[in-house]
Amino acid sequence: MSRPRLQTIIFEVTQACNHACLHCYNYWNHPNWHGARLDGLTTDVRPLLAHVLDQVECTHVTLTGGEPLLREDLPEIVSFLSERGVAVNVISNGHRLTDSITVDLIQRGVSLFELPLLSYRREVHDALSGSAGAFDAVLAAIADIRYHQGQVVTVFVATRRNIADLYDTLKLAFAFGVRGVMLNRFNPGGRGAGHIDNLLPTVDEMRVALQVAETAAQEFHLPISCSIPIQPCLIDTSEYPHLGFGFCAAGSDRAYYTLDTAGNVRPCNHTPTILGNVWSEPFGDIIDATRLADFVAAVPAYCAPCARRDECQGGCKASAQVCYGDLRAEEPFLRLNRTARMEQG
Amino acid sequence: MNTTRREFMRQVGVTLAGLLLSGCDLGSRLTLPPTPSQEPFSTPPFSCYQSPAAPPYVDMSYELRSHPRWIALRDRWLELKDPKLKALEDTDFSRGLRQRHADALKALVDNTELDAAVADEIGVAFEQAIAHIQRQTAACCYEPLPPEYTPRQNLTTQAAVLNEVAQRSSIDVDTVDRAKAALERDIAWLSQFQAGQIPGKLESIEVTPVEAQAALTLVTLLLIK
Repeated sequence: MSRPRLQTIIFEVTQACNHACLHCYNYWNHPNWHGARLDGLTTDVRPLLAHVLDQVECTHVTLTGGEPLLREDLPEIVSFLSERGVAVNVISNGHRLTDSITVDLIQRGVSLFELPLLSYRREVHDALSGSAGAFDAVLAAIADIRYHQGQVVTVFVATRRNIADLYDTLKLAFAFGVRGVMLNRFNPGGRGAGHIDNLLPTVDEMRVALQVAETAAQEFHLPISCSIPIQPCLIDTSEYPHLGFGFCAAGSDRAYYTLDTAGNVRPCNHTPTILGNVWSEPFGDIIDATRLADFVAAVPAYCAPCARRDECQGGCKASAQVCYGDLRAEEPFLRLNRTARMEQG
Repeated sequence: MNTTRREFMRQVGVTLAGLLLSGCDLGSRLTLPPTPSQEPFSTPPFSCYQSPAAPPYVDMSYELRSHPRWIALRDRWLELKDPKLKALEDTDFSRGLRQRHADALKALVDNTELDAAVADEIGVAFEQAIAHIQRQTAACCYEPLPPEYTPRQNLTTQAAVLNEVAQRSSIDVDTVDRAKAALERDIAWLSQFQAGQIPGKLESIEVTPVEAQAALTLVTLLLIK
């Protein structure tokens, strides 16, 4: 049997974090989550990675968390992957990315850092991050990465608290030499599920933000992509040709299966759904189409008549699952905005 | 860590895919000479982006005309321009293209026209070229960022914006200085590169004769009509 070919694997090296982002999507930070947490920071995860990489054809791994820099052995994990010919991305809040750690990680093979830049204003970034000093730390980290010739993209999570700051934040990112920006609308889940009312942007706010991003992408020649789905029934994304848009990749050839330190595999990092464990069954069996069928097929009833249903899938079903307990529910951005739109006539 | 040879071949694939998709009509820039060249190396009369320090050029025109297997390989690369490749995920077309490319390489290897190790490296470049094209369509948090060529004008603009941002904000002075130093390094790198020198990281790229041959074969193949 040939090895499954995966574009990427997301590896959550820890569930611990030194920030408390209001918009956090990690399911284990949901107010009602009572399951066990995998905070372990000392377990050697290299045997797990070797076990997985022996079973799949995959040349790219993203290390995330929680906050991956809380693991002191992160450099060794990066080296292990690099030596196996795997490209490594690191998603971090940047708070522990000191100059020396940055150099070390780049030299060991981190090809891209993904860091948050939530506002050009210190107080807004720090408030959304739930951590004083986060803004200064992330800017220093970006500057260090670029100084040492590493690559960095920043993430702007669009919420009602910061969406008006978008243009100046993109400008700041460009000034610091980032290679791209991800403009992700707030996607409730985890701790964020408790902040829907005060953080979730409206369609009108998102439309303005997309126009701002469209302008900035042209002005600064800055690649900007929106990887959290935006439903075409709410916003016509074709009006923003310089922005990239994506839909849920679960079950497709672009899927980013997510692995935790216990060996559990999930369809993506937003969902708590566990497909299987690599220590008890082959990876190929875990991601078999039959195993994924329910997850892939889950689409809200509201979307049934839509011609773009299979492409859009109603948005982020994992968000619906975490917030409302049902993969087939309308996820918050769709639910709240289509209701508002109907009320407007 | 130095750039590994696999990274080098991936960047070759990304670069060639980028040139093909940007409308650089590689195949139309050169026409076959009326008779096979007697010289093993010559300088191409045209290239998309003429460089004062062009590398030695292998004249494959005779081989191309005599052996359609080389043409078959080149045609697979030209298929990268097919819009059908810009799908959100792998399709029958992309899977078929991979297979056709592998078949073309195998035919050349089987007929001892191409070294197997070189063919393997060309396969790495092709795989990355396809991935690069598909990434243009599907934006995702968790995909590698393709290498980017930053034009000088953009760096000039960046310098102006950085100054503006620094003057009207309370960003830590050391952080701004570090950002400026990084930018100055980028500008210096680009200046050297545009002057035909080999600056910075390029010096540390590990390229064996096999990879060099694979890259040269691809470039030559795509330059000849």
